[in-house]
Formats: sequence, structure tokens, C-alpha cells
Amino acid sequence: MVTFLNIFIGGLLMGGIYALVAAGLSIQYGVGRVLNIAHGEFLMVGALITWYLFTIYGISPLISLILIAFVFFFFGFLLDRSLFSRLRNISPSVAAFEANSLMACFGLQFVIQNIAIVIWGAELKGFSYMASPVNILGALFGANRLITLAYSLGIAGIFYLFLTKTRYGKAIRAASQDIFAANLMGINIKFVLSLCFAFGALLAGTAGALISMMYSIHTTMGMEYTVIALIVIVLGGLGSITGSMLGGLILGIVGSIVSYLEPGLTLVAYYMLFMILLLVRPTGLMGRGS
Amino acid sequence: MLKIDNVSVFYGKIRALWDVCLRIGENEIVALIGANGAGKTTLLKAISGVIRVSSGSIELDGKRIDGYPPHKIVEMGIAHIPEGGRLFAEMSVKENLELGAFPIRAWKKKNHEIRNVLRIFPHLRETQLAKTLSGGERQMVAIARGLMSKPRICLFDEPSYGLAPVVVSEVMRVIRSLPNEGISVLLVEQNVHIALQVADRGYVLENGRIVLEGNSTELLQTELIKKAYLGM
Repeated sequence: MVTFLNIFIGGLLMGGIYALVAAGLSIQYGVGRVLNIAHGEFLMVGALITWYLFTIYGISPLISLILIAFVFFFFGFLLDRSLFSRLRNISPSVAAFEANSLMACFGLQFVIQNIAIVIWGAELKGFSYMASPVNILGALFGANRLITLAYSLGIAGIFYLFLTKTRYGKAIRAASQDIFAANLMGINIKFVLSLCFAFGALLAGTAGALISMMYSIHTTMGMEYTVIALIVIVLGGLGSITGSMLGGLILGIVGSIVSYLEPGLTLVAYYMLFMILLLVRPTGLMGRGS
Repeated sequence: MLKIDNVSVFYGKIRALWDVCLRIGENEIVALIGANGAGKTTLLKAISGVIRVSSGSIELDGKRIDGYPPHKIVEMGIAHIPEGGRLFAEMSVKENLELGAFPIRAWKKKNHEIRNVLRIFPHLRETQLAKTLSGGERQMVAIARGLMSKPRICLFDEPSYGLAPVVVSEVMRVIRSLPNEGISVLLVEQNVHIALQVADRGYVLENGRIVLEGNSTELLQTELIKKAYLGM
């Protein structure tokens, strides 16, 4: 029972974070067609800012997280307005835009990572915050882990409600399904696309803040999360944001089970799952097909 | 009400429309007919702001609207119901209708308006997913969605395309009732017979140019229409 609880909560914990990271990439690619290879770098910056504010100023990560959410949203919006919307204007087709924006994201990845290395260096960092153990039915968990779990599921839940219940949430989903028809409905597409990139940055940044509370972090950690997010959005179905959230949770639980049996095989298990899925169901769990 | 003067449109270097002039009066149904590739859809897209006009002007009640982005033009009261309906497939009928009311003024009254449009199409089920609808139902939802923004002019792009004759007459019945609600219609159709039955006036577009215009009854008598479109 205790082992089961350990694996299950551990899985939900990782899965909740994967869900946030993947939903962020999914909204940027599924709606905006920006395959943001630099997604993990946003996460890394979020993690390091949280670490920095805690170790230098003693600011609680839970406060930094809210701060990061606002700043990253704003920064993401500006980045889309200045970089991607310009690329959209000069690209003759969607395919050309995807290629151009992918190149831009590669550049962005190097720029962000190297600036981070200049500021924070390349060594491992970490801090201890609310690490006191909590007993749940005989299994011990760090309080920070439980808070992280609650936060990641909470943010994913709020984001889901935003997408399904609000005017602009529905506009984002409409644009992801048929951008031409969405335009004819009176939806300002340029604004919605910038909104999507902004939400992607927000989700990556807050996921980074949550990760910094549990694991050691470093300036080159971003790529790992970009790859995981890519696996998750294929798992969940390209273009389906809710699919990405579900895919994230599943991948987290699979990872938790495998790392209980053999910690070194977690990434191998992810790739195996990825390949099996591509063979069995290439459209993903909630994919629309072609 | 809608005044289109000398409008030309280019796709890159290819010219799609040549000095097109067209009028739509209050509560009037105007048909725009022509073969595939004549530029009918291009003209609709130019009116709704999806593509840019290279020269000429489009005025709504004396105010120039060419150059405005599509979302502004919807707010000004022009709804464009695209070919094939283009519903949001993964959403329910209700959510599709809600999105039709996206302009903020319409959004506030969307629940009231959904009840209104469902009265016109009583057999639509709000909770059904759009991708599971039949072709006819899709067209009905597309029309209902277009009406959600409370437009003053509706642009229809081939609403009869691919539908069974019974469904076509149902769609046409709805279109014919719109002027009673204070809505003018620009109806793009390949099916000339149906279009001219419904419309008050018509324009014939060939290779991007208006070649003929007149009352529907007059147009049905002309040699060009008889030969080229009705096969008589």
C-alpha cells in the first residue's frame, strides 16, 4: 500500500509538471504553429529566477511563481508581437512559417541559455524549502512535494477551465481547429496567437518554479524538458491541449513506476512508450488524425 | 447599404477581380453567380476583409470598410458564412453558436440569441459534437452561427453545395426569411436556378468581371444565362 501510494503520488507529481510543460508547448504549436524548441529554456529561467529570489532575498517560491507567471506572460506576448508575428507576415505559407519559426526558436534557445550561463554559471543549484516530511497513510512525502502537486494540478485545472469556459479560451480552441473560420467569427487572430505564445511561456515559467522546489537545477536543464514536452504532445495528440495534459499525467505515472523498478531506465521507458505509440496510434490519444 | 466600387484584387501577380461594382440595398437578397474560379469567393473574402483590396472601395452605410481586419468587419455587422460551413468540428453545436457571438456586444446576449436561432432550426441538438452532424445540419449550424453576431448583411458562400434537394429548399427558405429580420443577403451560388429564385437581383461574374446584372426575372430571360448556366 505504502509503495503503491509512493509510486502513485510520485507519478502524479511528475505528471502534473509534465502536463504544464506540454500544455504550454501544445498551445504554442497547436494554435500558433511555433514549434518552440526553446520551451525548456523558459522553464529553466523560471527555475533559476525562483532559486535566485529565494537564496538572495528569501522570497518564497510560491510568491515567485505568481510573479513569474505575470512576467513570463507579458514577455511571451511581446516576443510573439516582435518576432513571430513578423515572421508570420513575411512567410508565404504556413509551412514556411513553421520552418522559419523553428529556426528562430533554435536561435532563441542558444541566446537564452548562454545569457543564463553568464548570469548564473553552469553548476548545479538547489535549495531546501518546506522539506519537512508529511505522513500520508504511512508513506512519507516532503511537504514541498505535496504543495507542488497541488499547485501543478491547480494550474492545469485553472488553465483547462479557462480554455473551456471563457470567451478567449473558446477563441483559442476555435483558432486551433479552423483559423479561417475563427477569423470570420470576429476573433482577432493576431491577438489570439500572441495570447497563445504568452500562455505557453507562462506555463513553462511556472513549471520551472515548481521544479526548483524539488530538484537540483542548472542552466542546461532546458532541453530535457523540451524533449519530454515533445513526447507528451505527440502522446496526447498534436493540437489537442487537453490531450497534452492527459498525456503528461500518463507519462509521469509511467515514469514513476519505471523509476521505482530501475531509476536509470526512466528516459528509456519514455522513448519506448513514444515509439510504441507512434506504431500503434500515430494520431495520439486525443488526436484528430489527418 | 453596401456599395462596392471598382474593386480589384490580386493574388500575387495574378489578377482575380477587375473593377467590380456591386450594390446591396436594405433588406435585399442579391445573388452573385458564375462558374468555378470566376472570383465569387474572392469577392466575399474581400468584403469580409480576409484578403486585401488592391484598388477600389467598399462602403457600408457610407463608411469605407476596405482595409479593416476581418474581426472589425464582423463587429460592423457583416457575417460571412464560408463554403462548407467550416464548423469547429471538436466543439458542440452550442459552443459553435457561442463563437458566432464572439464580438463583445453579441457575447453579452448570447444565451438569449441561441434560443432565438434554435427556434429557426428546431431539430438541432445543442450538445451534439459538430463533427457528428450530417451535411445539411452542418450548413444549418453554420447559418445559425453566422446569425449569432446579429449581422445586418449575411454573405453566403455556396450554401447549397453538396446538399440533398430537400435540405437545399430548407436552407433557401431560411435565407428568404432573413430580409424580414432586417438582414440583407449576398448569395454566392453555382446553382443559378435556385439562386435567382431566391434573390431579388443578381450579378453574373465571369473571369473576375461583372458581365451582367439585373432583376432576377430579367436575368432568367437573358440569352447568356439561358445558354451558359441553365443549358437551355
